[in-house]
Amino acid sequence: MKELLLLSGLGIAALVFEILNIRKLILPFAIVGLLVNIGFCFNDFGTNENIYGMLVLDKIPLAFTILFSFIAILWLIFSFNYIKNDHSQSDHYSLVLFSLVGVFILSSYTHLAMLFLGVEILSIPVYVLAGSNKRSLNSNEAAFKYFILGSFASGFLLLGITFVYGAIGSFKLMQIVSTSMSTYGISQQLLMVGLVLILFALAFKMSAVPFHFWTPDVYTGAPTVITAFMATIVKIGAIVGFYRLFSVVISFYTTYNIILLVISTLTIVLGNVIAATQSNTKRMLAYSSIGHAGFIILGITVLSPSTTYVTWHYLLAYTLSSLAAFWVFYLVSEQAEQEEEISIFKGLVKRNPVLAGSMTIALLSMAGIPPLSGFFAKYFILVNVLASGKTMIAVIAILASLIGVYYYFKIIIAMFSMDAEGTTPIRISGFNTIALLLITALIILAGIIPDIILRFVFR
Amino acid sequence: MLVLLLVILPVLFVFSTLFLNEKQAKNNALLGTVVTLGVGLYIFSQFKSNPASADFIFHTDWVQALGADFFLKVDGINIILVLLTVLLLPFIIQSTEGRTIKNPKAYFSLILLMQSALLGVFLAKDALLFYVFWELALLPIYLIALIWGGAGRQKITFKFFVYTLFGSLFMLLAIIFVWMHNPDRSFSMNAFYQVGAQLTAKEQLLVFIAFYLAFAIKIPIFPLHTWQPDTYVNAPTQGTMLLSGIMLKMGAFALIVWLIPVVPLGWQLASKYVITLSVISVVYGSLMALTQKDFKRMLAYSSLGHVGLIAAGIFSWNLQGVQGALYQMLSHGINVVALFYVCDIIFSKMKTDTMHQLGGIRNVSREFSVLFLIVLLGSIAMPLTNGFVGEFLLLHGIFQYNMMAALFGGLTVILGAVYMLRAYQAMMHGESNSLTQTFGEISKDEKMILAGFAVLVIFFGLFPNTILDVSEQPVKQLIDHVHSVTANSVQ
Repeated sequence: MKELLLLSGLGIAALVFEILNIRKLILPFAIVGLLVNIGFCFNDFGTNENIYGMLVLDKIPLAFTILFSFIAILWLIFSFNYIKNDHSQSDHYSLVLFSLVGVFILSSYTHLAMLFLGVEILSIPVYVLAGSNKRSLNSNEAAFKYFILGSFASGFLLLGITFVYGAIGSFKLMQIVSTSMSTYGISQQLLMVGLVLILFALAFKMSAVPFHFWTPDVYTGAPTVITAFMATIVKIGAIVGFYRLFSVVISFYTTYNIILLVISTLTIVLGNVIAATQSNTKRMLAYSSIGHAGFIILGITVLSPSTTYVTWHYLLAYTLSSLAAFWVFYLVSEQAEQEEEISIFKGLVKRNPVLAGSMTIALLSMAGIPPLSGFFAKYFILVNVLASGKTMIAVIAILASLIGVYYYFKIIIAMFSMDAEGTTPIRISGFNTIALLLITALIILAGIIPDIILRFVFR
Repeated sequence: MLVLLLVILPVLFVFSTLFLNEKQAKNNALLGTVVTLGVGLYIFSQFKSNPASADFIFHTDWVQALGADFFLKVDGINIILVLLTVLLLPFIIQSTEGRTIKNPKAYFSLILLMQSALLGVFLAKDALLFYVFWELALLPIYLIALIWGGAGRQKITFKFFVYTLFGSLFMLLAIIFVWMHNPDRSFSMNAFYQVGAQLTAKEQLLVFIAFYLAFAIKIPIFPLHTWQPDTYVNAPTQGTMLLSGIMLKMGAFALIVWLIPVVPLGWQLASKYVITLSVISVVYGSLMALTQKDFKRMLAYSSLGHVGLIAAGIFSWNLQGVQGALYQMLSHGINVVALFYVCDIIFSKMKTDTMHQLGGIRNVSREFSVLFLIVLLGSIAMPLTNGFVGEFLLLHGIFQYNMMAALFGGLTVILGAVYMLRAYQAMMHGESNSLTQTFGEISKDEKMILAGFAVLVIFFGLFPNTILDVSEQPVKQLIDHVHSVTANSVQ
């Protein structure tokens, strides 16, 4: 309960600070608040607090709250570059903090109404944030597209929840499972349609193929900092929401597993293949994030006792790496007059070795090269896939990630062995340097000693 | 604990380069490799008297969820490869003396990282750890070739990277496959030997093929060699030295300890095909070397032939073959690095390594020509040089397996002598032309390095037993393990 109150309180505080005209304090206050939130989560491990039968704080929400709070802290530091000169910084911060509440609810719900609330609380601030660059046509288009399509998905979600309620007579996840097992008196068709609709809505939020079409446009149109937010924290929210529903309810129905296996394999393959054809960095990262989502969904679909750890570790590796990638991209594109082509990375190693180094580590980790964290993330999932006997899917996933090497290396090659057009060195603040080096170190550490980090979080 | 030092020391010296200026980077790296050499030689000297010492083992939990351990251990087989690595690295670093290198801090850091990863590959006794080091070794060499390589490097190095990564992903699948058949969920080498032997013949063959792909690409063996000549020619000299001297030995080493003992039945079923491919490598590499005009490219192809013979020796899987392979890995590493250094000296002075443009260098540089000749004789397996011991044992081993294979494999000795001596003749003998008259005497540093190589060539030619004694028992055990499994399956 404390975590929920704290997160909502932070969002409100950001607005209050605006009224009191102490905007400069919002950022430090939010960071301290999120740190306290992480402390709360560690403290609550093992209590399994049940909040009015709507939310339950078992180890899954706590571990994922630690993860997204931590990523949010890093993101706030990153966003400082972008928001500091903006008049509406308090709006930005409060929107972001409110959407964190949505992620928290998505990670802990046990009641379908909370699933819907979580999705909406998460999404509505992001619709606004995507359009926060008011003067840019692309940004407006992104917000509009995201909003329209997102509303559609929410409609599906609500309809699905209603169908499920119609079939079972309850919103509670546990009740759905126990009632549906008794064949007496429930309409299996209605339940199935309801669950499929919910699944599609969540697939939209996770940008799984074939519900991914909004992703590249929205990622490209939104300001880079917001794109980073969508690619990391919003993704954590959508995936953990799906994971909870799947592990409690859907995994009992093997028919859905086939749908999900097809969706996840398609997502991995299409995400990686299309990413390889992009020349716009943001679009490429958007498609690569689709591919990663596919990997995570695949890992969840082959449910095993270790899936919580596996998903957590993958999300850690993926969010750290993509945050670093977007960060570097932002700093580089700022110098290149907002250009977004891959060619802006040419000769980066000479212009700023720290940026080039962090980017390399981040991309290699996303490509799954050992000993970086992305390797073990993929490895854990592959082990589970193979253990469930789906060798062909494992081979397809491996081959698709080999394609990943191709497009990630386009940037690496550009950074290291092509000559820059403008050779002006890129100056970045010491603040940025330290934060980037920290993320890079974490990506390496989470790869070399995955065990220690997992044990630290999960006890 | 000492064994951990081998892997950690180079990394520590990478960190110390961060605090130094560009001029000190090389000396720092040299110091790092010399200290590592000291540790390596100490371990080698102690290993003979007390092979079971706790100094030679480092074992701790790593990824408990998977049952993977951080397990490094020195044994009679990998100590030879460790010796090769620690011996060559100071030479490789020192070979940059008198050459200008852009951004030396990064360059030497990458070489040191490479050393650490290579030593990790040889020492790892846990399959997952082995895999991680295997991949880790790829990154520095890729960057070295990409950043400091010649024209067209982007495409060539990328091909190299994707090729090797492609192979290792299949190795990863094979590792997971064997691991899943182990009820204890352990990655340790012994567990792999036991579990692998219990798989059915068909499963073993599949695992064999997956591993073979990874190792054969690295070695490389025909027809998976196409990345090799371009990469060798294109990479900077030190990169080529690392690749040809040490990195391709990773593949051959892995054949001995991670492939054949893990899936003995797979070896039994596939051996005649893989030996054939190895022998084709030998003949193809040697013939291609004969037709080359550039010295460096010729060396690349000759290397293909030499390692083909090593692979054939390993696949024949008898004491002489495997012992010869181990010894030849050491000798070939020394010889090929020395020859690439010779090539580098010639190229740095003449700006070309096209052989027919040169000639008569002997007239201007006597000492260089003598040192070159010694190294070259080692490479063509002249008796009393290191190359002779290895190739003799290898051919002996292959002959026991199949006479025809030995006959074709023997071509490497004859053809090797032909193309090497022809190259020597073309570059060193004859009248000096307007270009080679400017060759001059080589510098003192260059002389020292070449003399060092010459000493090694002769030393290992005269005293092969210092090495062969160490590896004899462990090799026998491995061979017995495999033969006992294959014998059981026949009954």
